[in-house]
Amino acid sequence: MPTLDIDRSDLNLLLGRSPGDEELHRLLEGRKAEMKGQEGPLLRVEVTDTNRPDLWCAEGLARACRPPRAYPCFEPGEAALGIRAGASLRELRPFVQAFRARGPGLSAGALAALIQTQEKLAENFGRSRKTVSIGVYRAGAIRFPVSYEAGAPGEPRMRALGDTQIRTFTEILRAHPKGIEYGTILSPGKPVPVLKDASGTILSFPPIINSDDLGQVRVGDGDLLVEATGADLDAVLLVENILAANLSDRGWIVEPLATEYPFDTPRGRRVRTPGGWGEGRCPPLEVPLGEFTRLLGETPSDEEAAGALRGAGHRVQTGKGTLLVTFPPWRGDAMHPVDAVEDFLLARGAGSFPPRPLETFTIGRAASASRVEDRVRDHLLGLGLEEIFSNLLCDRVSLRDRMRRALPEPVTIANPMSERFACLRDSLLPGLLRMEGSSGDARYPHRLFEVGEIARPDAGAPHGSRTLCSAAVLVAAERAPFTQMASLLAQILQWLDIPYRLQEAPDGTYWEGRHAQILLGGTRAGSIGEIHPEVMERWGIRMPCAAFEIDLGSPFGLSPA
Amino acid sequence: LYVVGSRPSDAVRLQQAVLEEVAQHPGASLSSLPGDAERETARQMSRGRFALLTIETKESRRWRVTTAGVPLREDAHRTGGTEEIGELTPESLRDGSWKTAKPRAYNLSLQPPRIVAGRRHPYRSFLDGVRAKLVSLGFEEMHGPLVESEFWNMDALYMPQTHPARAIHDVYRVETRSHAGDLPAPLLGRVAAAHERGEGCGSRGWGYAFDRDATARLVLRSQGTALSSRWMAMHAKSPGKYFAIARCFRPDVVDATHASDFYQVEGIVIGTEIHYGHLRGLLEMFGRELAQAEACEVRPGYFPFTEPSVEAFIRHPRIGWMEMGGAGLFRPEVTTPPGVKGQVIAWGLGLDRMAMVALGVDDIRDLFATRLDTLRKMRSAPLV
Repeated sequence: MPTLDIDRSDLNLLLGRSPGDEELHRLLEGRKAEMKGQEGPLLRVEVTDTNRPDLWCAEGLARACRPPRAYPCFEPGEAALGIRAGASLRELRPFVQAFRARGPGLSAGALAALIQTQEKLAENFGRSRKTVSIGVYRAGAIRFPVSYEAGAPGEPRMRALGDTQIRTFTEILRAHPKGIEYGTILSPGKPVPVLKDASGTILSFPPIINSDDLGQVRVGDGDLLVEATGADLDAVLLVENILAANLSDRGWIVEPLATEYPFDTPRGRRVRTPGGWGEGRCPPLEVPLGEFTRLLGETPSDEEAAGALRGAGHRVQTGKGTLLVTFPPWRGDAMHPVDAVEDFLLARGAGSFPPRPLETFTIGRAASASRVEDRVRDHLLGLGLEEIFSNLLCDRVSLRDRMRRALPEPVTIANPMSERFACLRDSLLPGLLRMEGSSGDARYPHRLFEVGEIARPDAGAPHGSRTLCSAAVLVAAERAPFTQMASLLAQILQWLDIPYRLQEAPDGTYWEGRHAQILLGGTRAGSIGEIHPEVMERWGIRMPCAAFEIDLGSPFGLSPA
Repeated sequence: LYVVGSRPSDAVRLQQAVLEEVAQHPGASLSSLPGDAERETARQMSRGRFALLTIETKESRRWRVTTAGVPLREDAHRTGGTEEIGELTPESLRDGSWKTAKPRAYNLSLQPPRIVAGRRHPYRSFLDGVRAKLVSLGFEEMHGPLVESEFWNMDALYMPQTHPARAIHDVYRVETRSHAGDLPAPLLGRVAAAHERGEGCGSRGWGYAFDRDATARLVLRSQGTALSSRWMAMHAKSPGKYFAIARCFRPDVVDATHASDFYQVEGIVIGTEIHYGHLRGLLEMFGRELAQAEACEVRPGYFPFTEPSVEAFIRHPRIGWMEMGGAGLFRPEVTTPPGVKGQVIAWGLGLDRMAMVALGVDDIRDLFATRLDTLRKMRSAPLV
């Protein structure tokens, strides 16, 4: 969900008018964007559609708010040879496409926008430059055709953008900030992609960094080469199309160029940039009028549907009850007719289709697990106990070291944000003990309970663990003897009509001789006893405690998830 | 007390005198000391960290009827008088002595003593109310595992494996067991084909090579929609309305607006005649029934698994406009592989904000407070 900083006056220039705040809000809303605020001349805009990279820039948002116009650069036509791609990069990063554009010199605002768009596209759409990365160069000094070849890391040397010295690629990887950030995309020691012009001057090491002379675009530049490289040809071309449309919108003339490949690509061996209508990720979609009915509950006429879609920038051919819809070249989201129907919905207005009540009768039902939990909670409340509600995530120390129990490892997160929230609880007692440990100042007695989900490690389960329902009670008071807990347990199980037995079994959490395991139908289903003083010390508890915990799954026939 | 070679000072002599008196007559009264100076010295010696003696104060009182009260006393004895009693006892009920006694009235201006009592956790109780309301609207509750495979959590929902929300910092991976062992093979094949070429769904698909190893990776459930995805394939009927109040997990720095684990209320509505108008109707019904909304508006939204999608806003009588959640119609790439007949509305409500307002809580961490006093002070959600 990219967030953009857009110069408001630049946006107004592209829109061709200056809408007030409220109107701008509405315009952006209709394009799934939200105005988050304004600081000085810059608007903060959040764009939610991750499948519409064309909207991640001021030009794209403005384009979606204006009536459509013609773009000559996307029409079929000849393209001079711009780049010769080498076979050496076929495995590594095969595709490179570029176009040239000439126009009024870049204003500061337009340059800032171009840099931001480059960043957003390469980061979010290009997956941190892995799938697509972009380079922009001053075209005037470039000798065409450009070559795209692999170089050995120790050989090609250039002064990188923002650097003071000429270095080899390996040195750049180590010393330059971009090298450090993006170097992992390329395998160490392997050949590196090098973009060079016909006279041998290095333009850049895609996807890492441009050179400092040809690769440094400045305010006032009016002749640019816009390039993209990557492993997915359609993605590369989509990005190029977006940038071509953006510059066209600013009044620039886009000059298509072609790349020649020594191997077959999905679009042949000579591929033109920008791509044209109906290619790559936006082939024409056949949209039967029935799709509109199915999704919207209304059937528009051919003309109404076609008109709305054309207003949104599509090319539409009407036929017998079907529309042939071609999305513009800067969009890559035409997968299924529903995508065209949504554009029709947006053009008409999301609020223009009235709400309809649901008419089918269905019977409502709570899940068995919820009903069991609620029954047990009712009984515990009836005994005057206070309900607590804890996080499911906790730390390993709480689940193991502090409990004096040797058990298999709890479900542990491989990429936790902090140690405090690194495991899924496999018991409710730690949560109760944590509450007690931080509540020494609350009026006593403390008679607490929790009923809820736990994740018990189970090597035999398909997910390595089972999600179960558990219930636990903790009493902290000046006198918290085993007998009291046993009476509570007996009362609950009597109300639930579950026969049980207590039996001796070792359990480090409790004080020796003052605890038992709970057996339901002969199987171990829980534990009960006075908490071991050492456990209380580890939790910082100074009041005697007794507890029990019981598995609710087996007595009620709940199958674990 | 002594400095060698000098005579004791006045203060020291007084202290000696007091100590001798107390040693000979322990428990003697203060007034038995000879003079004011001795009594003051004794008081000083009873204070501070190194007090040498303690002074106990005992109060004794004597009562006497005044001359004005004498005739009243005689009066009371003549008319039999009533004795005031504080409490009834089993004895006074047995022997009837209560009949000649008068209950002593309570001072109603005093606060009664606080008691420790049990009650439902306010946040959980709020969620209980949501469950009850959804069941009353004809929704059946779904449930599923906390640890889920990427297949159900994302792939079966047509979320591409290259989507930014699947990056390492957006979902929790499981270390103790990395892959699921029970993915349904035929469905997996159809889902993979849907991602790659849109096969069988009338779609072009995402156009990338589906990774069958990644789909089996285990994560902590990051969205409630994972349950809908499971249920749709295994249990759901058409027509049908389903919901879940599901605990979900997303990597985030825990602070006043982000909890380590949180609830999502979401579900699906399946039917053959369901369309966008019903989606709006559903959201309006939720707004009215769950949040007392006076109005409900929608604006365009985006989810990878629905098209079209909306975000829903409601106008609450007190709070004003606020976001309620989102909904959309599941894409054919989601409904075709499991063989769903009809259309599916997928909906999700963000109720934590509403809960915080109802419970008067500013910090989201307090919903799962770990201090008993914080919990005891939390108010319950208003009855409406």
